[in-house]
Amino acid sequence: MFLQESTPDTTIYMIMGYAVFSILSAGYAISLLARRRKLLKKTETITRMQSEDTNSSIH
Amino acid sequence: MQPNQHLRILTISSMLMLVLSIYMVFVYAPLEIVMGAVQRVFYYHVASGWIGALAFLITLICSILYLATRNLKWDHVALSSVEIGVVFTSMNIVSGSVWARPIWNTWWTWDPRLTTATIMWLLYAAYLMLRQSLENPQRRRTFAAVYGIVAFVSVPLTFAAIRIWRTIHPVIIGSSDPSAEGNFEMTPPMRNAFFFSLFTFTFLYVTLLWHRIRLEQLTVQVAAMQSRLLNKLST
Amino acid sequence: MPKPANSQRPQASFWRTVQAIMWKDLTSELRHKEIVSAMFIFSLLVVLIFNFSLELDRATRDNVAAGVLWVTFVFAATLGLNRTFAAEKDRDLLDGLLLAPIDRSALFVGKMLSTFIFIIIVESIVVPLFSLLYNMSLFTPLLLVVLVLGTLGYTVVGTLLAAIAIHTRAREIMLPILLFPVAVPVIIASVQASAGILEGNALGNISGPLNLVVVYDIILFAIAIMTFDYLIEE
Repeated sequence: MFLQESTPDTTIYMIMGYAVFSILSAGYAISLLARRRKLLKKTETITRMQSEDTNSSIH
Repeated sequence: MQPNQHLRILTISSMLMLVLSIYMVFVYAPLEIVMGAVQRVFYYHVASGWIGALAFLITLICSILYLATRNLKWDHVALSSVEIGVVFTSMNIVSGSVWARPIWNTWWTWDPRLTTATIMWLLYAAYLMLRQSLENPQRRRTFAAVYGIVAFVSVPLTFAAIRIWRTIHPVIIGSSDPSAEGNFEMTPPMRNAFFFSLFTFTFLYVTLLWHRIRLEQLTVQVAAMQSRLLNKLST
Repeated sequence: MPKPANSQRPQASFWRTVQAIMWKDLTSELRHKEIVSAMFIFSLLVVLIFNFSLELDRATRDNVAAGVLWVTFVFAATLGLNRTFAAEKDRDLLDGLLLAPIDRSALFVGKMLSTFIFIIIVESIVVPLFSLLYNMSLFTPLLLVVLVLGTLGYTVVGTLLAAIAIHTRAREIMLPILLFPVAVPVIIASVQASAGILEGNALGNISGPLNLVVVYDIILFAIAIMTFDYLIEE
């Protein structure tokens, strides 16, 4: 390996390596966002149910 | 939850740093003569490995603090840190494997470094599974804290256990095993790009940790709201 | 046996508690004979499977005997560890045991030692059988020392994690997932030490892995004693 004359073309492996970094980090960021959105939706539902509940108990 | 100004600034600045570090890795740092372009994987490979180790160390500290104080925030930090650590360790292992294909001529070899990293990944994947399979929240936090401590202690022991084999993994900072394959001398621009990637990833870790902790707080909040609602409906 | 770190109470009381718990487990096992017999049959099955899957002829046998032996014991011990707290849990006696006004570390040491004794019993039957079946002598004193020390380390961390796993959903599945990665260092070091002994190396040549087993035993015993209290408070 150290006796070679020219630099080997390893670009494809470099691209693969950085594809790994970007896919995993983007995937994690998306999962954070998705989980957050799901929770916020749930909060909304709970608040709505709570207000409906108090309204119905007034009548 | 009100929009958090500090967190927004932190997120934007770590994105800017990421862009700058990408520029440094691909343009500013020169092409390595012997290995070719694949050497550029090295910058983020080492940085993600460093974040993995840092994240699990933070988990150890927060697990101890949680057992000592029973303050929920330490549990949130410990869990968030494990999750981020597992993501970065995965990046570290897979990118290393991609680099090894042209340099060592194999995707995988049972080298001490590689084995230790894999065991570390398995330990913290088990940590996450443990949390999933405990229903009582109080118990989940305590048991996870105990496992977070036991897991971290076994990482250096694993490394010592397999250290008896010779390693072919290169050591760029400090002295390397003479049988290491894929070593190279860093030129000053490479060194700058390398340390800047480490710095960027550390920054990114803090940002992600903050976001993940906020998510965990929200989860706890929603769970509390849900049980309050259920109580009200059942009475 | 390292001494427990936190014995503020008089020694007699600590050891009497340990003895009481061990005695309870041992008599219950004498009556039902379910743990030791299950581990024993399971060990034989694992040895059998290895025999067919690796085709253990004379040449291969020498190289892999230490590995086969340790994998057999690790798998069998996991069965035993799964039962460490299971009898109490199934009969809802765990809370009673945990609420008893006894030193928590004594509870841990007692439980750990009774499981350790079960595993050692199984090993002392399987090792002679293994030497008989494969016509190789395993009765060097040094190998027995490695077996005891390695098993001790595995049992210490196994008991701690069994106390965690017993409360999880699907606890029989969780224990190996939690335990194997943590136990990797002691298994590797024990296999290396055993293989060195079987190759006929002197003590000097296997001191590296042997020291590591001892270090592992001490460190994990200390952590187990320190953290076991927290597992019980819940």
